[in-house]
Amino acid sequence: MIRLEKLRKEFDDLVAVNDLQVFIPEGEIYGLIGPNGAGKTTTIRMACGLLEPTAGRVFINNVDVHEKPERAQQFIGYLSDFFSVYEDLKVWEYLDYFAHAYKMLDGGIPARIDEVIAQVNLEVKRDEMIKGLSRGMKQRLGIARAVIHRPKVLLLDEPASGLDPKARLDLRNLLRSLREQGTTVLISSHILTELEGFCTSIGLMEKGVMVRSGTIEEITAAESQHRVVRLAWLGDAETTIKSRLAAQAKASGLMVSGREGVFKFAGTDDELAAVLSDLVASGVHVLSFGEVKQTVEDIYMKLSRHEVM
Amino acid sequence: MLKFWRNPEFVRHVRAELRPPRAITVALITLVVCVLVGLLSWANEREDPREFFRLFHVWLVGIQATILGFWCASGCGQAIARERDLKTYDFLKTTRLTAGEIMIGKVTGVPIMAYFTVACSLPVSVAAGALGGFSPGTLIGIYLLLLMFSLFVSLAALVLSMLLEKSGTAAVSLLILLPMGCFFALAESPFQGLSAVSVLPAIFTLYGTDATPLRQAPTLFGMTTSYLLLTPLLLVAFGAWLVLMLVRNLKAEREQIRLLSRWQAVGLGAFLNLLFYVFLNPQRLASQESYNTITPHDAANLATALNGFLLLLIGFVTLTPQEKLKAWWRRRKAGEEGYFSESGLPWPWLIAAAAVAYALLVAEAAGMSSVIPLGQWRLKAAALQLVVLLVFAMRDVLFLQWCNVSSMKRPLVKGVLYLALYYIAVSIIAGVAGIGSDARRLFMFQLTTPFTVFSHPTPVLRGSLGLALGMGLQLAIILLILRAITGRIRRPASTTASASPT
Repeated sequence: MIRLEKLRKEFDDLVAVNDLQVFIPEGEIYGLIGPNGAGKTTTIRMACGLLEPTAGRVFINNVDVHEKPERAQQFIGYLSDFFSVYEDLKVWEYLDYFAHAYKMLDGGIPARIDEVIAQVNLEVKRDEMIKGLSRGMKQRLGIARAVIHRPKVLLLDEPASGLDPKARLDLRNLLRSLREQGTTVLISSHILTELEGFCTSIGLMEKGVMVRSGTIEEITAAESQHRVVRLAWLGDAETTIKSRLAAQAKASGLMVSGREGVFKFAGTDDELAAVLSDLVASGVHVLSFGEVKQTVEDIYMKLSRHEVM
Repeated sequence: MLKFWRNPEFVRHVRAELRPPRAITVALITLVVCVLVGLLSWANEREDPREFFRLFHVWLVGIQATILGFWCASGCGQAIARERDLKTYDFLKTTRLTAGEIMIGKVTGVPIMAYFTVACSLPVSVAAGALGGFSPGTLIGIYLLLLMFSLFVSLAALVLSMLLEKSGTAAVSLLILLPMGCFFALAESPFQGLSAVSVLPAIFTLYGTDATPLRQAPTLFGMTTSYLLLTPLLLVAFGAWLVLMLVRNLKAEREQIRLLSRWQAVGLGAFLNLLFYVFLNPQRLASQESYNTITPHDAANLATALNGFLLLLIGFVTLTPQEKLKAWWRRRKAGEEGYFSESGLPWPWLIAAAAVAYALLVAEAAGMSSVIPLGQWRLKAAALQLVVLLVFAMRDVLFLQWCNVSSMKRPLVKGVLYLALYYIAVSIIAGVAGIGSDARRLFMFQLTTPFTVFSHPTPVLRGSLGLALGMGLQLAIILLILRAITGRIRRPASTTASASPT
């Protein structure tokens, strides 16, 4: 549904996005994660046709966004982080304006306006002037605008900025329901908790490069080829533990702190269970023994410290 | 293409600005103003009812024209820049509206209050005109001219708004309305027809005003014609160029705006040259200069001077952003593109524009050879003048291009200021160096500026050592600037340094 082919953007001497290659299938919610300045906004602006790439192409629903912009726009809904709305219009007039600007058929527009107003919980404000709305309400109105024409693809650049916790929850639910209807969502954020719960795939960007891309499971698995195992014990067993682990070919890097330690393990679950059995058989009173699961946040923090590169 | 009254952008402005309470207030105020103008007219002309109605009508039309002019200029002059400031423009650009539809929506919608005000006073002004004895044709003609004037001003203001970083109402209004007014001054020049751009001559013609500059009819291709033909012709022709600029750029990021493609820029140069010859009144050409005639050589001088300015203008509108220039350099190295490229350096296009300009001058001279001998045009001197102007224009445009690829803030503004500083400085230095010696001053000017090509007759121009050295110096500077530009665009771009996560 969304295909970025060798997408590149240079600003003067800087490469903001460096030969990005991404494919997002239909119905995915793809989270673009990265620190500030990683190139997320530039990528989204190129994907929605606002910014001309230095090289490469963007396809939305197999339409080249920069060759046939008006045709591509019927498939795209776009929302950015900080924006304004036409304050001198009423809520329904604003949505009516964009419905016509997206060239929807006249007959279906009034019903569609009521539908999206209900989706973003602005029914009571339907006939109010926009200048009287709160910031959060305006953000919800922006979301309603982005989906008014039933786009197949939603490109959202930090859309939760300015939303209160309930509105964030509503946004998540709205995106989930849109996904169920077949909408593909590309959403960027540098706040992990915003994305981790509901994205089906993520892409980690750093310095304009996509350093990891895939489902959360795939990415964490790829980063966990050397699993980190934490153990704790009773009594004075440090020497025994060191010697037993040294005998294990797939265990390495033991670090001990008091009666606790962590080590890296490159084997399977069965082999890890065998290590535990061996320690117990050697007389170590194992208090706890378990794998330290890496979260996306761990990987993200590594990323921001440039460890993944 | 959407019909303009169904254009969402037009509808938005109608909804926002003509809400019933405001519309009723404006209509009432307009009627009050009409009554006041009527009273004022009556105070000035109480004897003859016909003259009273004529005066009343003309004053109302004057007020309507002023409202339309300023409202269109100020409204459209901030239409795009303001939306950029408010961050609403991106959403408009990502709709299915084409650039042409956005343009029509803004040009018709932004000044909607001005159109509404005129519409409210229209019955009064038309009735006054009819009672004053103006024919229906005159009244229709006046309002058609006002409509064309409003649309033209709106288009010009929209182009400026597209280019401006910040919206500035007063500046835009002055930038558009002042030059339009200045065109009226051409009514007494050998290019009388160009004064039609200001609309005033056509309005005066319709009212039968006996204004001094308009006693002689303008010419087109040497044939006498009417302002009523020329004004629509010129407004449509210039308006078409503005439409082209808007349609090419309205949906582009401000930094990516290139008003015209390079071929179009050369075409605009040719078009303006053509206008120069089309409106050159042959009756004002004579072998001896007098108070109301010029010699063919002077006309050729004027044409080359105009082209010196046009070369700079063409160079300025075709400067390439660093990003595109780098991409062009890579493609050129790969053998995929040549020098005549949309994204390459502007200098080859300046040569093309100068060649077209000279060809048009020769064509004009040849076309008039039955009236004016070819020799009087001094075409060889004009060629030399054009070459000198071309070299200096190339130097200045390449300097601006270098500024554009450097890491300066506001490179073009700084570049233009540096050039202005350069010309002021060399003029002062040449003036000081030339104290007591005209030859030395001339030599200094020839070395550093192109201005001397107009001030001396052909033999001096042809055999001048200063000019030859000046050309050599400028070519050496051009090579140095080209090397500096190449050095910049050859540098590989680095990746951004990202900040830590929040």
